[in-house]
Amino acid sequence: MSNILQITPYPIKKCIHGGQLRCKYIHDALVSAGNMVVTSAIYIAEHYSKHGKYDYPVQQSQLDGEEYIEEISDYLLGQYAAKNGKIKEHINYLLNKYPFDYVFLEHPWCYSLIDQLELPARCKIIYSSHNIEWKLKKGILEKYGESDLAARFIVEIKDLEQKAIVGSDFCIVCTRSDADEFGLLKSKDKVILAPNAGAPFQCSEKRAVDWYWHFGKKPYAVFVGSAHVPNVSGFWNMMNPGLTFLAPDQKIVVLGGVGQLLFSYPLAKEFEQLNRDRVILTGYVEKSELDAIILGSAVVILPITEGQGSNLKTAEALLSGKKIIATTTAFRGYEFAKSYPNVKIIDDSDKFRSELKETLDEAAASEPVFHPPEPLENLTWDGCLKGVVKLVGMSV
Amino acid sequence: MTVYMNLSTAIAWRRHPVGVLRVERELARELKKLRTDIQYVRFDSKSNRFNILDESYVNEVLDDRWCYKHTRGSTNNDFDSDSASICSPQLPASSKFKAGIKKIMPAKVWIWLRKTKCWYYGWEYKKIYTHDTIKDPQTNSNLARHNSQHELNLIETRDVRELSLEKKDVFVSVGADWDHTPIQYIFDLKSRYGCKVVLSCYDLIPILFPEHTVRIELADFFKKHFVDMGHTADAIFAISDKTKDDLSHFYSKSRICRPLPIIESIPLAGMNKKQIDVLDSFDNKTWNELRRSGQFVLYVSTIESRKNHKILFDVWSELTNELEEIPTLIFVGMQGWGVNDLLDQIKRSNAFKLGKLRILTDISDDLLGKMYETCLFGVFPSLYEGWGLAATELMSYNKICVCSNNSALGQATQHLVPLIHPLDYISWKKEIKKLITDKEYRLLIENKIRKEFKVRSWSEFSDDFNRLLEGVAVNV
Repeated sequence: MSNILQITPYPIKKCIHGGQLRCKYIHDALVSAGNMVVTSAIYIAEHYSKHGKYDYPVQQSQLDGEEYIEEISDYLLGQYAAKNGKIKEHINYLLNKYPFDYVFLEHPWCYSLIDQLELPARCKIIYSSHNIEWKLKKGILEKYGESDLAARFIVEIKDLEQKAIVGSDFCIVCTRSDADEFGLLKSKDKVILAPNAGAPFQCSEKRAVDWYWHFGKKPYAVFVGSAHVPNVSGFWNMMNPGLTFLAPDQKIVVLGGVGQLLFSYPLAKEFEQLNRDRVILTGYVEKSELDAIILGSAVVILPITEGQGSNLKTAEALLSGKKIIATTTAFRGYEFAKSYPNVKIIDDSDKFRSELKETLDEAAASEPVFHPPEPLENLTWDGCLKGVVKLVGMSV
Repeated sequence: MTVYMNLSTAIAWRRHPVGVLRVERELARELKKLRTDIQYVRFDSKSNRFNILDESYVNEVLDDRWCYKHTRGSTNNDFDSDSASICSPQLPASSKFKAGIKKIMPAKVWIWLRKTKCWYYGWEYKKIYTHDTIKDPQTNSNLARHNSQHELNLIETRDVRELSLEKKDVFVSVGADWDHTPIQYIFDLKSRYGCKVVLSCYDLIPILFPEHTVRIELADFFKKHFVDMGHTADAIFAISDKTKDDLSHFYSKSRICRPLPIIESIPLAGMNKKQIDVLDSFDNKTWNELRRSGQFVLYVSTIESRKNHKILFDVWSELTNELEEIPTLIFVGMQGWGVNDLLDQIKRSNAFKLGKLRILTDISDDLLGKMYETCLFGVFPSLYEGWGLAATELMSYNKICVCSNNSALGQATQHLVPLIHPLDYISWKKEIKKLITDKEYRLLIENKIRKEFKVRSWSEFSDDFNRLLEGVAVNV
């Protein structure tokens, strides 16, 4: 069994967004397989509340400067960590304390830091990728208009990411297309595909019925997302010009941190009062309640139009067995499931809205169904992380 | 099939019936004559349900007296309860009084009195700024345009039967639903009973011109209102072709993903002309004051920024200096919003001080009819109108109404009058000057109106509306 240092850009003690969940499930899978895993998050203190024993918070004010851009705060944090002696000391302390076999780097942000350290000869670096980061950041930065600064950052991020791919011993990727891209820089046998997955459903049928009643005994749609700008832009791009297609009694229940940003997006403004009327924001809810709300719904929507990697929410939606209306982008990494009978892939905004409207209309005309879904082995974390567990076991 | 007509707006409104109110009341009366299968309902916002009204109550609401219960004589009781409020410094009695006092009073005392605003000008000032402050005689609160709580309690005892519909029934609502009947509750009726629904659209001004609405959020509010309407109605009655176009364009932009309701333009009627020999004492006093001031030009409209009173004020200010004889310009209408500065300017202007510009509010249909009949001509320079009922009413009296050319006013006047862009000051001044000074020109247009203007009655309007109801019942 191996000793593993997992370095993350966020704590995983309380998981809110998909990235945290993926790191947490990787941690748990490795521990379940008998490995000793120490997780150390180097993170922006203001962004997260709960943290673990070996986590290292950095005040956002320490990153502030003329070049601070919120959307790439993770990259800036990594650069800061590489120059900060105390953070280096902190990691060295951990390296001296435990005889690690692996440094598991989640995201490429701290690669510059790791690259400077003198790791023991036996210790291998595994770069655990979540996205093609430079493409994701490029998409976000370009929304705010072209600037020399943004262009410079995109080049720097691409450079850092490629160094992480080349400099690590193994890479873990979320999707087949990411694996192909990594394969251009690295031997394919050193790139391991570990798709995102979902946790098994944890709710009772009764709880789903309770939520159905709570939301007015009318069929509703569910949209789950974290407070991540692409989640918001995807939603409004697919709903454009607004939720005008929903009848007064048809609602979309929005779960997760995305609700905080939902109405700050420019496309939400054209019909703001109507949009607010047609949306029910729940904020963050516990997993069992999330599952119950999904189970009580008529349809899950995945209006993802940008971003890289695979969408963890897609796995959860598939596990729910509910009808899904999604974009092609949302099914990146789950291409095998596109042909499932409950899945509709639609990239055209008009057709997406029509399909959603039609689904809710049809659901209103029939009896609601709240049966818990059949488990899907290829969509559980245990199934999807088999390759990662095997890699650690084999290569020691 | 039974037709259920919503009278919530008419019940709530206890003063002079303005545009929407007039349509709802006239249609309700006419449909009562046309159909035996009609019942009237009210939306109860406490229980969020519709209740059927008993017939005697409906008759009471549709009687003219319903609209004047509080307002006549009470609206201006701060300063003058015996006649409608005429804002002008030239009221003969007070003028003479002022002149007499000035002669015998030392100049310094006179100036002090004016400054303290407790004298004549102060009285006028108060009139301008308070003429829309309506006091409820029972509560002394500013609520008299609506029912008092006591009256609402009485109403509740008279509409106790809850509305229940059948699929073949038609529910009709043409009032100010945005205030009195949220569309979502009509949607609930339709969902529950599968009935047909006919709703109304007067204009999309809050959406098209948010800068001229009383509150910034109204644009957003009305977008929701019309989208909800699109999901609810089988047919929508639009008051003009322009309104129909505006609504269709709105729906096309909104993409509501369902078959759109039928949108039918049914032009509004003019005024029910009647021979008025004797005015009541209240009207008579106002009428006598008006007659003494000579010829006048009318602008009948709420005083608000969209109505563009400013252009007329500027024209009159200039013409006062240019012409020896100029008719008085009378603004008839209650004060709306966004005009405080304008009213301040009016108060200080020479035209106002000379009595060539007046503001009249809270007048009856009888007196308004007299004024239409005797005015020199009318003007309607509004920046945008869904119809322009006052222009149609004026034309019913064979009078010219110079109108804006960019909205429904052309249709409302059957394109028989001069139409000018509302921001084209030079053309407005030129046209008004010509109508004042060139009698032949004026008579020529009046003759044309007399020959060609088709006066449309409320019964004709209601016939058309009734045909829409029949169509909805059969076709949808």
